[in-house]
Amino acid sequence: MALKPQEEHLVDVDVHHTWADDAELLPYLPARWRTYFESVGSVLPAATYYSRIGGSAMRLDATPPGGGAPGSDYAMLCEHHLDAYDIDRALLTFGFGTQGAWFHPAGGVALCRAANDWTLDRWLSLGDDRLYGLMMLPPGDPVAAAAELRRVGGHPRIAGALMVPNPLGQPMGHPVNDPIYDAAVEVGIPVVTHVGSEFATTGTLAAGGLPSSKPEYYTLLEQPGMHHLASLLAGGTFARFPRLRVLFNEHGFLWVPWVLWGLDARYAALRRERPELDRLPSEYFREHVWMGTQPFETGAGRQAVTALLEAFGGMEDRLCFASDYPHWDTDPPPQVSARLPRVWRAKVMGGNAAELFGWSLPSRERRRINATQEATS
Amino acid sequence: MESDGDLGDEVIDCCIAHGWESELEVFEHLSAGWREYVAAHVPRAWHDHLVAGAPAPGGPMGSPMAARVPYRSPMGVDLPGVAGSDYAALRDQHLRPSHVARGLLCHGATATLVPALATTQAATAFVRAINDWTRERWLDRHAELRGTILVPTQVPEAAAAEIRRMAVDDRFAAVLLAGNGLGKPFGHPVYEPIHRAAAEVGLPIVIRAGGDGNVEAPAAPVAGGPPGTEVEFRTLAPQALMTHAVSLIAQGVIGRHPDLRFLLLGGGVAWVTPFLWRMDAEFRAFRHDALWMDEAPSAYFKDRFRVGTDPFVLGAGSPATGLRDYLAVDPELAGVLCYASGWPDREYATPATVRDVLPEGWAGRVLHDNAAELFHWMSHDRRGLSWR
Repeated sequence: MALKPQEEHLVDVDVHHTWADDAELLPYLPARWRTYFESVGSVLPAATYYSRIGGSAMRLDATPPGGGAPGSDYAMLCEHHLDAYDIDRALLTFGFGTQGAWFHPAGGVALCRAANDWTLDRWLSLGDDRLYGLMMLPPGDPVAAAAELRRVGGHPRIAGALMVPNPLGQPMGHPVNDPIYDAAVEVGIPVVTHVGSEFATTGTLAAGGLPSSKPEYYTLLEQPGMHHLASLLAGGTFARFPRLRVLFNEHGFLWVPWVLWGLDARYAALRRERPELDRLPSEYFREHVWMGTQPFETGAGRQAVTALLEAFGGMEDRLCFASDYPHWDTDPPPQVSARLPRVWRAKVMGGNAAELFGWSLPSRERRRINATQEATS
Repeated sequence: MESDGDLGDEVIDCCIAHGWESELEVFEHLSAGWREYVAAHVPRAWHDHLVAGAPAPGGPMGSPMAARVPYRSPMGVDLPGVAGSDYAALRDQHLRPSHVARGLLCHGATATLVPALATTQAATAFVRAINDWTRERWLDRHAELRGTILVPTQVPEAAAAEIRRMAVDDRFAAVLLAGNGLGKPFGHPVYEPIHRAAAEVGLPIVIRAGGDGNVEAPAAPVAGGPPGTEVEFRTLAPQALMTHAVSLIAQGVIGRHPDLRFLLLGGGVAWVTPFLWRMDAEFRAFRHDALWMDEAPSAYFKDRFRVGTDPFVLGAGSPATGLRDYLAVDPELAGVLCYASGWPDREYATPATVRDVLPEGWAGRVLHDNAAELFHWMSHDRRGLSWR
């Protein structure tokens, strides 16, 4: 049976791939840093608040049959996720991308460089045309991060620059980050952020004090992202970089209306603080920002979620399907698709991501013909 | 403007940001020893006035009691020409024209940060003086007003003692938590003496946004780093309210004190619906962390928490119709929201402004009934309302 046109493409903008264990990454480090990280015994920024109260964030059923971390085995990823849901494009987003928050800033830069060479070598050279990847930024050293973005960001299978940790303790719109945005615009790829900015720094994980249990922690998980978005809009980043595009992953999206309404309503005050803002925050948002759908709200009925978004308006142009595979709260594509209004599906399940990353996707029909020809030739 | 209809003069305002014209008003309620303490932080002529009874000099005294407010509005904080110290302005600009029959005094930003001053004993003494000042300057003089008990959150046992001291006067209608003196979410067990005392005296707890922005206390006002503009600080004010609410639920405070109720002020209304959905989803996933709960956290929230409408901001890009449709998504919020003007804050909203946005049929509950029920100010027969 032919697919309905609105469900023609399926793009997943948040697939976490990772190394099976640290030993897999170490060869990509220069000798000086290989010795260092072998000695310290980990490439994950130490003592994250997350690890203390979060436990494992992985789906147990995503562990590869041969062992190693979930998301580390290409065959398993295909079987378990990409083939299972007939995904057209998957954006590989690392295990989180917090390596740049290593407490030794140069170590963070070295880890990011190694991770980028690793993803190009191990994943983006597989010849699987579904796979695109992000390059990992070390935002603790914005100048080095910009240099790394220029080094690898132009690779045809690198689709964006992953900016996760916040070792400088400043929201994303702070001008200290401008070298990164300058490089992203120059290279022509979006900046992608993912929940977890405060995992390694923790002081500002949540307003009002640190949460003490998992349900509290996860309920409040999206708070830093609210501020990162508000600061990009109110801090004038998009006024300074009119071609910058940003995707927020795993931050949820239902808080967008109240945050943007609050900013817009205070536009007069904002203009006194930031005279360079010549448009409403929501106008910058609607042109420059996309939101991954994970976690898609399951605490409410489908119609309620849609009604809330429609009261704000235009979110069908901003949402990009994101599964967050292989994390414990993976959203399978059919589950998200079924919760969307029918007329939103083509955009949210593929079209918006294609626009963001500048992909022209072959139709499913064309892909099937290509596959058949390949098989018979 | 549409008439007030059957609301008559029954509007209840859950947040009036009252304040002093000069800290001298509060110093009158300090002991001789603490007057000497504050006198060490003012110019010499004022020092002599404070400790030796010399005539009050001219010129500024300074504000030895004031915590440093980290974010200042480029528009000015208060309505032009009005500060929260002027009862006549309150009456003429707000209470009378808006038919406010009862108003809850919830302090402005300066007072709400006093409990988080770094000097513990001073914070405790100042808070006591502020409560006495509220009683003497406001409650003794203006029958339509009710007070909230400010408490020194950083010393929870002293806070509990202050609650018991003030609650004897039933014009104090709630406990006020604002300046977060220990930098922990308010459901943390360290704050248990406060919850126990409030439950014991039968008063609800008001949590006022902004108390986590104090530069002398360790909690962050906003997640993800210091806000670069006051607008971000204000817009993201609901974040701390979320943290405190989910903490009070998950840490079992509402379970230990089944009659204790909360009013969350200063975050507006639009954050509530997505927050409740998020909380329900995560508590379902992590139910082992809160096994005492019999219901979804949103059900507890709707039973035990009320949310003030301030700041009720509308403007370019935030149309009233959008907000009305948005609120209507969860009809049960009609029983949760309570009108709160925030007067004399710049973002003050009249009852008419709020009513014009509310979904049909909500106004009576939001502008009156929910607050009357929370504070036990409503007789069973609404028409035969008798103020307690």
